[in-house]
Amino acid sequence: MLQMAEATSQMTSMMPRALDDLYAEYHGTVFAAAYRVTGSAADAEDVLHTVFLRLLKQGEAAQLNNPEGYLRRAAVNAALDVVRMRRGADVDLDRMPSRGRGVMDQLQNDDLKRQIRTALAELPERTAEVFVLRHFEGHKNPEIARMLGISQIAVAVTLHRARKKLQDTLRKAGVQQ
Amino acid sequence: MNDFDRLIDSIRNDVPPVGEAADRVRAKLNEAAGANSLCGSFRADFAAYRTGTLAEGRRMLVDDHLHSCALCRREYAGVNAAKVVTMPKRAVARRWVLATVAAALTIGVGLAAPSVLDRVLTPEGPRATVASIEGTLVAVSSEGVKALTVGAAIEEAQEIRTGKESHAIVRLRDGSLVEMRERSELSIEEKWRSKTVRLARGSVIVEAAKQREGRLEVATADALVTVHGTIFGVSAGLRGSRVSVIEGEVRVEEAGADIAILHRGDQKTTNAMERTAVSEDVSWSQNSAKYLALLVDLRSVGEQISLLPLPGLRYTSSLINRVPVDSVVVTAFPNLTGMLDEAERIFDDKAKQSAAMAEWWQKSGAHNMREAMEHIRSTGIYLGDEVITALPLHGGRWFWPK
Repeated sequence: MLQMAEATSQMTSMMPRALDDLYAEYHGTVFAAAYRVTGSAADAEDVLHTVFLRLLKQGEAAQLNNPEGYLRRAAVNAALDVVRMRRGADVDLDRMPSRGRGVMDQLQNDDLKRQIRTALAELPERTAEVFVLRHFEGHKNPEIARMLGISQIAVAVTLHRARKKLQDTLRKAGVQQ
Repeated sequence: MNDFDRLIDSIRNDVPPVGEAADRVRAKLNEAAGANSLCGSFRADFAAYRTGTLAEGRRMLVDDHLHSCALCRREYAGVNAAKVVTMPKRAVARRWVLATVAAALTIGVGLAAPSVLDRVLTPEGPRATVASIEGTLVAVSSEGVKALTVGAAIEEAQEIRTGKESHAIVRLRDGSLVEMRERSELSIEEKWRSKTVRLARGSVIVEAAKQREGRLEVATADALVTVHGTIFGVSAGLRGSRVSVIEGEVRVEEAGADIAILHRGDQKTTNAMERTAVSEDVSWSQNSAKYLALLVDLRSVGEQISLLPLPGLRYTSSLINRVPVDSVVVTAFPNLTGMLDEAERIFDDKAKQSAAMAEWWQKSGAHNMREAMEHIRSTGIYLGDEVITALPLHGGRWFWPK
């Protein structure tokens, strides 16, 4: 495993320098943002690849003013697309024990998170994006307003609506608020 | 903090380390960057290539690249795209309008009929059963997640998934086997004359049973694979789909692309899906040794058959004088019965040497081929070296030459 990592790091990069630097600095951020939305390491890896591949094809890595904000948004939106494409709900099969009695316990524990993620993907696109940026990625309302080019009031109203909708979902699942 | 906030907190904080995924993605990006810069250099030459002003050597290189790179073919097609010109409307006679409406109605009824029949005649009951599981197989629905065991029934459109380091085999109602790789997700839908395995992600290998009247399909987000009786693998991910054929023939439909017919050893990818060796594509299967042996054996048999001497060219005919004088179509071909005997001997010999080949040759895999060979042979033994068919103008009336 160590040899593989060394081989990869020693490999001459074919990526443009700016993109290479962005990848080195933000690949963890993109992966984590995608994982929080999809709940699956395999999907988060696919999102990581998709986001940077898009940048490579567009050749815009060097022109980004706020690369971290751009990459977070790109990761969140690509991840929401993945969840929307799913026909049913998700369960993190990568982190689930493959054998033994713990399987059912963990399935039950993950079930509520799964319901939140599914309900999130059913929200309008902008509403879901605002909720994820605020509550999963930890951005403040003024930052989100700047990133999306909307007013802070609009951000607050959107968050309120999203929260209410998600809480309704959990209430139906029998979770106390 | 209430339960809702605790749950959101847990989602925010419970993130696994990116680990080896970072290296894997980096390697793929490097590969794509290499291809990207290569493509860029070729695309710069498209205008000159189109006008025929490119140097001969470079033109051959662009030719070769366009042959192998689907993205550049699309880009080139864009350069070449013809302008759409709106044509003036032409007066249409009333009877043609009526005829067109009638034809449209007929076609509409014809198209609607199968869907109505599908609704009425779709069989009831489970679509498949779980034949084996190693690790975890779960059924996921809006009601929750349920672990499955061997023998469990899989209902129409029920979503099933394999866990990490797990794999499972499900048996469809017609006996076809679908082997699921780890972290794969699929559902099965059945209609009157079709069964569809919808692969949402991951990989499957299908050993399709002989389809009597219906068809078996594997559908991904961007491809539809149709088979009749064969062994093939399908992988689906965010970047596209990949189909690899181990034995037999499959038909692949991709949105916006020509239909492709794949044979043993062939592979087709869609969108940005990576290509890989067919042998590598099935290496995860618990039957990989059998599939790899079958690939090698069938290739060897194909090479031996291609070396069989074909009947020589014929410059005279002893039958042509017996053809009806008013024939409008006459075809002549050699009697290949002897060659088929020789081909069957090659298959038999290989089956004696290889267990994988013996299983395929004796069981359902080669059923269609054996049936066809037997059919040709049963007629061929009564014919001479030369075979002629004729289609006379006055069907059925024979005019023997005087």
